[in-house]
Amino acid sequence: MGNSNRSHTDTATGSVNVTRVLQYWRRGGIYISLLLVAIGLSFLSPRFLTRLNLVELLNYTAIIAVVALGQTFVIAGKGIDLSVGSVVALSSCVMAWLFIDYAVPSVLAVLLGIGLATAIGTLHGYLIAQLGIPDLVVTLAGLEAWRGLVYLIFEERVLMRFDPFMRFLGNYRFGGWFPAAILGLFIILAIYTFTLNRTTLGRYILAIGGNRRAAEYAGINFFKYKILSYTLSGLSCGIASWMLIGRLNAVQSSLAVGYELHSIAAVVIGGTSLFGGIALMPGTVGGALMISLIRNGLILGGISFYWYMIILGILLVASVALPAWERRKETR
Amino acid sequence: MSDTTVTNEKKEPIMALQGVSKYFGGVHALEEVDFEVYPNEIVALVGDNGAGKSTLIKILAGVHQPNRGKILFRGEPVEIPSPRAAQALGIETVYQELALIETRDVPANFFLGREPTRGTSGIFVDRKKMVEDTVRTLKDLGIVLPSLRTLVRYLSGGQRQALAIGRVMPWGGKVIIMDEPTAALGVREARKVLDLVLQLKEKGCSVVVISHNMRHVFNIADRIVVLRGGKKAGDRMKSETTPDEIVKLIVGAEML
Repeated sequence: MGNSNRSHTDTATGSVNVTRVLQYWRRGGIYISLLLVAIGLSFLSPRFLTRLNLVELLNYTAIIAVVALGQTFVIAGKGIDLSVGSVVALSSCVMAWLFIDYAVPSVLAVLLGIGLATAIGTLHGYLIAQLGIPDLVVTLAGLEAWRGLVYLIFEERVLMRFDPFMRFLGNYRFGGWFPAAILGLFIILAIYTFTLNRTTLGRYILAIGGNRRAAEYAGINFFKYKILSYTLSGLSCGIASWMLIGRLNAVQSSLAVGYELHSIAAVVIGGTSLFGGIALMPGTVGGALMISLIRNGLILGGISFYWYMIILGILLVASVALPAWERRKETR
Repeated sequence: MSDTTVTNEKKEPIMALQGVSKYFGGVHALEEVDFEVYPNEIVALVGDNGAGKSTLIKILAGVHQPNRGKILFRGEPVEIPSPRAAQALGIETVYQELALIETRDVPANFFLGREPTRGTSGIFVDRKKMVEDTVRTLKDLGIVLPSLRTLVRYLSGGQRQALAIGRVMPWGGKVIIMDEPTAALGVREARKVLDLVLQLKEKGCSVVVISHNMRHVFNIADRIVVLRGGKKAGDRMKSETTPDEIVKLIVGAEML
């Protein structure tokens, strides 16, 4: 212990610039990367930098970005939520089901769907915090089980034809062009950013994610804030479900497959540490946008979709490499 | 300094353990230990690894509950069921593991668990006040850190220890407990930390400090309590003992 600390002091002056750069890169790297990719794409295709394409891009990104913003709270608390896709599918189907089969008013159907997703997130958090089951196991079980439940209830049914309120968040356009989904995304981003940085809720989630024992010594209730991080992920899944119904105007069991990977990728690419304790909400939206941008660019360039999967994989590893390297340096 | 220790003996202890025992499964970590902390003194708690030092201070800090025995605070029997309860009594603790969050910046660690908030909800953190108070306290203590925005991860061992000690100071604690504050520090950094401990005493606090370093112990302590095998093996005023005697008490060679 003595040795590691002394060498830390000795190297401090030499490595301080490197760590500074890394700290800035964590915060700003995503935006520089976005800019570079966007510039590249505008050379590749004259259609890229049109208002229509940019609005559509952001609109397309909104759903996964909302899911990823909730995921950010979970990862900030050193957890991981693999269940988000299945939870979105379940709550979307339940909203549609209540509205169509039981003629529940659309406002109530949406609220009940969001409430269900929030309750499921809370249940996951409870199993993890109170019973001590690892995050990965609980949410992997959730990924399987909730999807199974969706298929059990809805089988191959396609539920469609919703009213304007159910379609509002995912489909409405202000002035005929500006999507409500983008406005919704930015409102959620603002609220979540404030919650993360300026409330005890967000700060204590970061604290338990950074060092659980230190947080507990400081009197912070680990169980409460671990559970609440999953509650917020569930809430985000519920809001995303409402968006998804409006977007598709049709709901079926196979909805939202793969959201877990895309949301986690967005979070990590955005600069949040997969090891907990450091989280950047705007970065998460940037990360989601980056994923869409790559996809968009490959489509515009007529390149195989398989490249999209390969590039996403490489990007994910590269994004985790930085915090992993920092931690290796620190623990030595 | 020796005349203050003489007057201490006549005072009532600010905090005392009476006949305290603590078991972990079959292991007797502490057995029938009496321990007093007098106002405005520095008590060094010494002993070999496994002698029960950490267990004893964790009982004072509200992390562990004794299986038997009493805790007195200002003469009144108390229970200290949690670190929060200890803080409410005026007992502040600087842990060996430092209990800092490396992924957070300086003010976040400074106010960890008791952030100033706006309004009555206790939810909205007053970041501006956090930064101002942190700056003021660090300045008062002469602690220099590169930048408040720096993550604790990037601070040196001495800077971390200074932060860990500095953050307990604004809360008006009367008893400050420190678990090996100079472990793993270089000579100069250790010197700074010892100065901080002396500053705490000047401000009227009592300090309970665990240390393995006899030089540091004899440098700052007024009184030295030795634990061996979970029992109290000695309790000496510094002015009436020598490093040799303390070492013999620690390892168990018969003296009297």
